[in-house]
Amino acid sequence: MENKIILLVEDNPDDEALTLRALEKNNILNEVMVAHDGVEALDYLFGEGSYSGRDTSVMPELVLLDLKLPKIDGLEVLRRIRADKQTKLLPVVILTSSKEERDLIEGYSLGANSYIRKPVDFVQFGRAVQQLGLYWLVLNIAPPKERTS
Amino acid sequence: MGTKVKSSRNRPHQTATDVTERKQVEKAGPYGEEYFRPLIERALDVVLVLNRDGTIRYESPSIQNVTGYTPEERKGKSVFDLIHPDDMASATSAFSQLLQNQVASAHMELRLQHKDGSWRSIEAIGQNLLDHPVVAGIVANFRDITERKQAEEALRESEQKYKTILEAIEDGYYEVDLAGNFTFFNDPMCGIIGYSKDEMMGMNNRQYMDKENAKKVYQAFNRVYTTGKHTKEFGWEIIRKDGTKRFVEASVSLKRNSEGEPIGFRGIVRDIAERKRTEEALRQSEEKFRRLVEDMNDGYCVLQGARVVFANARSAEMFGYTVDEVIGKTVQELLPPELVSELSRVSARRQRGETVPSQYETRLVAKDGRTRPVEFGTRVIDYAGKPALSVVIRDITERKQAEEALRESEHNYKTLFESMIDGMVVIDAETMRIVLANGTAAKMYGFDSAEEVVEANLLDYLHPDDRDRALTSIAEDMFEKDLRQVNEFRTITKDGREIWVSGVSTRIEYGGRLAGLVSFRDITDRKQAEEEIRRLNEQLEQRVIERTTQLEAVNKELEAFAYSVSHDLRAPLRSIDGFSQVLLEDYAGNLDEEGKDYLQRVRSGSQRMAELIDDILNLSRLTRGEMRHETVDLSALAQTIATELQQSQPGRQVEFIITPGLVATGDAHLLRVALENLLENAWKFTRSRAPARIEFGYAETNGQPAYFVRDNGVGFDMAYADKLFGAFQRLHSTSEFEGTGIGLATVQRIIHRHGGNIWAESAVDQGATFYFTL
Repeated sequence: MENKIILLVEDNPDDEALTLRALEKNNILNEVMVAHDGVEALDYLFGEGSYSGRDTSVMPELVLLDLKLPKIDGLEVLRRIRADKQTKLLPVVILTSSKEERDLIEGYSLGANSYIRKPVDFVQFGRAVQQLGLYWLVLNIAPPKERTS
Repeated sequence: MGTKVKSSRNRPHQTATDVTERKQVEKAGPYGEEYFRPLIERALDVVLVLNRDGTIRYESPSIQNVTGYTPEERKGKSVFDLIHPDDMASATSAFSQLLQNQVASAHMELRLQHKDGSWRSIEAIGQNLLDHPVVAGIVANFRDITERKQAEEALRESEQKYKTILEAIEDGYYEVDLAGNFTFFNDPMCGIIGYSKDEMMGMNNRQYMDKENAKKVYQAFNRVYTTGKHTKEFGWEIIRKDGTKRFVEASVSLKRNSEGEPIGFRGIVRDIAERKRTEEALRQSEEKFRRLVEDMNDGYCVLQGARVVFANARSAEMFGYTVDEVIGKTVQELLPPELVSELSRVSARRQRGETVPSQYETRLVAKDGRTRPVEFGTRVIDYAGKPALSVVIRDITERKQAEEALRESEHNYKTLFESMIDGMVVIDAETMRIVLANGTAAKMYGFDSAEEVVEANLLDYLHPDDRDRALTSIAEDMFEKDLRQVNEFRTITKDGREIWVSGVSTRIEYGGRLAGLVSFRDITDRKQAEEEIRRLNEQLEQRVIERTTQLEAVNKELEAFAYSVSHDLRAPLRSIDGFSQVLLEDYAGNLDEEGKDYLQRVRSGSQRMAELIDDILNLSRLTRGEMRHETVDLSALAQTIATELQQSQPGRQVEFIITPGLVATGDAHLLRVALENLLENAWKFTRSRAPARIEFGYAETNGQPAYFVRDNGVGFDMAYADKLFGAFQRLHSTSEFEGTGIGLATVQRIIHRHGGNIWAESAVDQGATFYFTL
């Protein structure tokens, strides 16, 4: 797999570590870009802030998005991703603790491609990450890249 | 008077005889002038001797009887002086004819003027005896015929009169000869018999009568003939020419000739068909009235001089006699003395000219003592040509009873009106004033009497704010629309207190006028209570609003809390579990079996806690969501859940008995959750049963119909029944039966949200039944 970046938006370092471990353990060796809050995620995607100058023609293959985030929460991040033509087709999988109805509805309404609840049982979590990677990075055919001049 | 000059040649012998006689006397010798003078001078007739020129030479003394002049006064004067101008021409003409001997004698009638100016009619004969040796003059002889003339005129007039009468009368006039043949009749007679004049003349009465009637006529004629007396006959029937028959009445008189011998009959005939008809009508009318009097329910009798001369059967019955017994009896005999004196007092008053009502009431006592109230109606009438008293006696028992009943009814209503616990007034529709009130109304408003209420016009005591509304309701709802409307309004008592009354109005007639009966009661206490309730309600509502606001706030907090919990509480658990697993994977070599076991326990604890958190969130979600009300087919729902359960564990033998058609109103999602929990419980706790049996139905328990879920599972001890529905309360260990103890708490919450109840019956190893209502 060449250069298929996964953007993991996760503020909890434990979850970050466990997620990365689960990816690694399941042989998903893509580059993982971790953003620790909503602002950082958006800066990265749009090449702003600390990521200004980043080549925004390179977009992650998949965004794993937590909802409860400092500064800008996950749903807002999703809204901005879908509002920008550069990112509007990005596959975004909500990966979060909650299964509150309003989160589900709002997430899907804003155009989330998938909604995964993180299981407490780490064995199950690992299994979920494995399937996630298999599906989105292997089976799923990504939308065509935007060509920028 | 017309004067006729008759030629003497027509009757020459008459005068000739007279003259011959005189000549014979003169010739007789002994009869000289001495002999004749006295005769002439005493004769009734007047004798004149005239000269050729008409002057009078001699007049016999009787001239004075005719003209009033003596012979001496008129001697030498012209005879023409006294003749009526109208007769002058014929007189002079006759005289000149005599002079010229054209006629032997002239006979004429003419008029002479009496000395007193009146005219006398005379009949005169003149003779030319100028050539007579002794007389040598015109001799006139005349007599006064004034009276005869007058008689003739009178006769003529009389005849004219009778003729006129005969023609003018409508009755027929007839004259017949002794054999009964018509000799004379007038036009109406023709009209009666129906034949023409020509046909009738000489006709015999047998020709227009049948034998029987002809015989009657013969007998009548015969009687008149023999007695000579006038008679009047009725009811002869004649047969007219056209065959119709008529009744006539006729008078018959004997007709005599101048010698007094009977020569026939005469009389008047009158067509009495009309009278017959009138008589018949009268008879029928009399018959009708007689029947009326006989049949009428009133007693009727006629008194003449205190004696009954006529009585109908009803009056006789009232007196207690038969009709025959009553007739001829006096009032004193028929009636008890008191009544007689009462009647005579009335009679005396009437005779004194006082106005006595023609009808008055009294009590009539019959012979057998039976008494009845009656009304006498009397009037003076003509009965058989004499004044009499007609008496109508009307039995007024029923009227009296009705009057009595009415009086009683009125009394009852008055008592009722007065004893009503409600105030009552009657309002006149036109004046809108109180015309009647009861004591309760007076008491309610602080008046001393009902009369005061009427005087004060209670309508003026309406509260100013309610006055228009109350009066409008009275005028429109009651008087116009005749509605019985209950109204509540405020009024002011005499001493100024404000009281609420509830009034109901009914349209009635009072004293013949449109009126309204209003009954009302003091509802001040109730109104105050209502006001208190209203105030409390308002407070309550306010409190509810406050509480709801608080509750909403709490709910929001709870929601935020739940949201936070679902995110934040799970994260550490994931760390605990996750890193425990990491340790187990990465550092397994550094851990002995005990250490690994502990890490596994850490993991199970964190996982169980995650389940508990999920359950708590689920439970709280049930109380937060919107409730929908829809029709839910519980039987179908139960069937679906049962099918799902069987699919989840196909190996189990579970018999589901689901009563079909159980429908309820509620939130389909919540009810599904409740049924799922109950059925899953049943499924779970019948694990050890083969076959297991699970029922869903509807039954009455403890007098209350309820849905139920019954199983034949392990059941529970009723001693712990109160713990069943508590959150996280479990009657079994997790090792026996998995679960967090949140299921029944969830069910109860759902049932409560539907306003229902849930309870359970069970015994250890006897299965369990969960009842719920919605």
